[in-house]
Amino acid sequence: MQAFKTALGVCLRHPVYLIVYVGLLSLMGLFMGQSLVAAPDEGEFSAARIPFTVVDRDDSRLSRAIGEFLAARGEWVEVADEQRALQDAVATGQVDYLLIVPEGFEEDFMAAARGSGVAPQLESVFSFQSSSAMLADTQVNQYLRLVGVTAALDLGASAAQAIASANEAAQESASVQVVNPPQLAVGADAFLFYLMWGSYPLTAAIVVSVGLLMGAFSRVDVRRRVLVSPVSALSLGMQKVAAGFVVTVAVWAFIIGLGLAAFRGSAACLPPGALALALIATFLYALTPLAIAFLLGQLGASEMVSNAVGNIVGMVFTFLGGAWVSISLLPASVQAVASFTPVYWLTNVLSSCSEAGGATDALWASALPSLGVLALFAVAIFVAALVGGRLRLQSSQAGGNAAAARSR
Amino acid sequence: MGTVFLGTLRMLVRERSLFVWALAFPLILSTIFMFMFDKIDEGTVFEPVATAVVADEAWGESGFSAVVDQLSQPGGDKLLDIREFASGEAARAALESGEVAGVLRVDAEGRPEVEVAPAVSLEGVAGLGDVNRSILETVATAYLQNARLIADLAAQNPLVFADLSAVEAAFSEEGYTKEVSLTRSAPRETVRFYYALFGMAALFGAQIAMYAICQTQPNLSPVGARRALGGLSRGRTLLVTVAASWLVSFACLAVAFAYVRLVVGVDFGNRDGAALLGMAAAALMACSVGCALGALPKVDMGGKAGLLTGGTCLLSLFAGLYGQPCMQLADEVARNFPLLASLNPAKAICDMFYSLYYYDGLAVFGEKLALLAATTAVLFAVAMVFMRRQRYASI
Repeated sequence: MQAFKTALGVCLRHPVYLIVYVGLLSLMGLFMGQSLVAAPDEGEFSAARIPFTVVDRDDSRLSRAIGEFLAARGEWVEVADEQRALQDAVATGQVDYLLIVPEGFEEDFMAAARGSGVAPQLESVFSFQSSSAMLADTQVNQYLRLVGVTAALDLGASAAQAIASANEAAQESASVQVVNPPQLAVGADAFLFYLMWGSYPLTAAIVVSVGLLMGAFSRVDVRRRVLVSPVSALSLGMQKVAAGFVVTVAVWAFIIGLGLAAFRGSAACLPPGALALALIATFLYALTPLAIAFLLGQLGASEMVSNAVGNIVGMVFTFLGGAWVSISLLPASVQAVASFTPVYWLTNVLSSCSEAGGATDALWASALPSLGVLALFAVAIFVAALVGGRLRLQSSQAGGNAAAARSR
Repeated sequence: MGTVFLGTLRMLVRERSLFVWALAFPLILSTIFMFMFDKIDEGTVFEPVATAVVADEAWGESGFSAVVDQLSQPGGDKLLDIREFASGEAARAALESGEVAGVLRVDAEGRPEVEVAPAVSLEGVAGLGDVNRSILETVATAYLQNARLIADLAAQNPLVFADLSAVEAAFSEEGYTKEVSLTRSAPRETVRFYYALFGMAALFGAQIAMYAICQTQPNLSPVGARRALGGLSRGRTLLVTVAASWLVSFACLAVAFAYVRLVVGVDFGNRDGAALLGMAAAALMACSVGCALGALPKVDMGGKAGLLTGGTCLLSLFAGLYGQPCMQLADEVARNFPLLASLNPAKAICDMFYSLYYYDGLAVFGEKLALLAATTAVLFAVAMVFMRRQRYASI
C-alpha cells in the first residue's frame, strides 16, 4: 500500500494541474452550457430576438418609428455613430444587423410614396449571421411597406397618421404552435452538452495528473530503488493503477457533481434510466485517459509531455465529440476519423439519451454496443501500455536483457 | 557570444518536447479549426428556409399561398424552400424528423398558421433553428398585417380601392433597404478564432524562453551551473539566451502562420508582411513571459510549466478561443473593462490581427504593436528584478 499512498501524494503535491484542468476547464463547460439554457418552449413560441442598432441621422418620426418597431422584436444595442465603433459592432457580432437612416429620409420617403421622386433606400449592414440580419431586414421592409402603402393610398394622411396606421396593422401576429417531437427529452440539452464538453477536462486532468503520478516512479533514481525493493513488479504496477483509478474517480465525480449541481433542472428532464446511462458512459470514457496516462507512464514520458498530450488529446477529442460544433456539420472524412476515437461513442450514447423521452429499456439495449466499445478502447490502450512497459524494461536503455546481450 | 548563441540554439532545437507546444499545437488546432469552421462559415450565409406546406383545399383558395409561392421563386430574394404535403400529419412528420424548419397551413378562414419545432437541441449548438422559425412567423405575420391594413383603409375610405392598380403598385414596392459594407473585409465569424489561436500559440511558445532561462540558472540545471563558471558575463549570457529563444519562437510562429495562411486559407487582410511583423512582436512578448516565469526563484521547472499552461488557458479564455460563448465573454470584458483587456497579451495579439483584417488603416495595428512592446518591456524588467544578484548555495 506504500506505493499506492505515495502515488496519491505525488498528485496532491501538484495542485496547480488539478485546479487548472479540473476546476477551470469545468467552469468553462458550465459557462458554455449556460448559454444553452434557453428555457424550453413548453408549447409557447418566442421569436428570435436579433441584436441590432439603428444609426438615426434623420431623427424624424419615421426613423424613430422604425427603431421602435425593430426594438419590439429584437435587442437594441447602443452603438456610437463613429466609424470604428460601427465597424467593431458588425465585425464582432455585437449586432447582427445595422441600419443607417440618412438625413431627410422621412421627407423623401413620403414624397416618393405619393408619386413624386424616387424612393430613398436605407443602408443595411449584415454581420456574419446573415440569417438573423435577413430576418431583421425583412421586418424593416415590412414596416416601411405598411407606412408606404398607407401614404400611397390615403393621400391626405400625414406622416404621423401613416405611421399610426402602420402601427395599428403591425399589432397583428400569426398563431404559432410549437411541436415537441415525442421522442425528445426537452430541456436536457444543457446538461448533455456539459457532459460532451466534459470530455476535455476529463481527458486533460486525468492524463496530466495520472501521467505525473506514473512519471514520478519513472525517474531513474526512484526506479533503481524500487527495482531492488521487495515488491513485485505486478504489485507495484497494480498499486500505481489503483492510485490512478482513485484520481480518475475523484476527477469524474467532481466534474459530474458540478454539472448536476449547476444543471439540476436540465438533468431532471432526463428519465432516471437515461441519466444513469449518461453518467456510466462518461465514467467508461474516463477510463480511456486513465489508460493513456498509464501508457505515458510506462513509456517514461516527462511531465511536460504528459501535459502536452493531455491538453492536445483533450482538445482533439472534444472537437471530434461534437462539443465545439455538431458532429453532423463536419465533413464525412472527419466523421469517419471520429468513429475511431472513444469520444464518438460517448457522443452516440449522450445523443440517444437526449432522445429518450419515454421508455429507457430500448435505449439501454441500443447503447450497450457503444458502452462496450468505450470499455474496449480503455482495455486496448491498457494492454498496449503493459506491452510497452515490458519492452522498455527489456530495452538496452533500461539495462534489461537487450543491454546484457549487447554487453556480451 | 556567437558561440554561446549557437550553443543555446542547438540546445533548444534538440529539446523536442518544446516543439509540441510551440509548433505542433498551433498546427493541430488550426487543422481542427479548418474542418470545424468549414460548415460554420457556410452556415452563416443565408439559405432559404426549408418549409412544409399543407396543400389542402383551403391552402389552394387562400391568398397566403400566392405570397408563399412568390417568396419561394428562384432568385436572390428566395426566402423559403417549399415542400408540399397533402395532409397535416405528413407535414408534421417532416417537421419532427428535422427535414423542415416549420409547417405553414391556413385555417378555414384562410388565416395562416405556423407549426415549428423546439428552439434548442444538441444539434442546435451552432444552429439556426431559432432564426428560421422566426422567419416563418414573420412571413405569416406580414400577410396578416397587410390584410389588416387593407381592411382598416377600406373601413376609413372605401374609395381608396376604386383604382386596384394603385393598390397593387403600392404593395409591389420593395427593396426599401440596400446592403452596404463598413469594414475592409466582409465579416467572418471564424477568423477571430484563428487570431485567438495565435495568441495562445505565442504564449505557449514562452515555454522555450522559460526552458532556456532555467538552463542558465545554476540551481535549476547542470548546464546552468557550468555556464555560471564560464567566461561570458551573466548579462551577455541572458541576452544571447533571449535572442536564441526569440528566434526559435518566431520560427515556430512563422511556420504556423504559413500553414494557416496557405493551407487553411485564413485571410489576414492581404497584409502578410504586417502579420509577420506582428508574429515577431508576439514571439518577443512570449520570450519576456518565459523569462519572467523562468526567473521565478524557488519554483521548479514543472511548477513553472504548470503556471504557464494554466495562465495561457485562462488568458485564452478571455481572448475568446474556446467557441462562440467565450468570444462573447471576451468582447463583453473588452467593452466594459478595456484596461483589463489590454493587460491580456493573448487578447492583444488577437486584436492585432483583427485590426489588419477589418480596418482600412494601420493605426490600430500600430497601437497594438506598441501595447505588446510595452508589455514585453515590463515583463523583461520583472525578469531582471528576479535574476539580478541571485545567490545560489549561499552561506
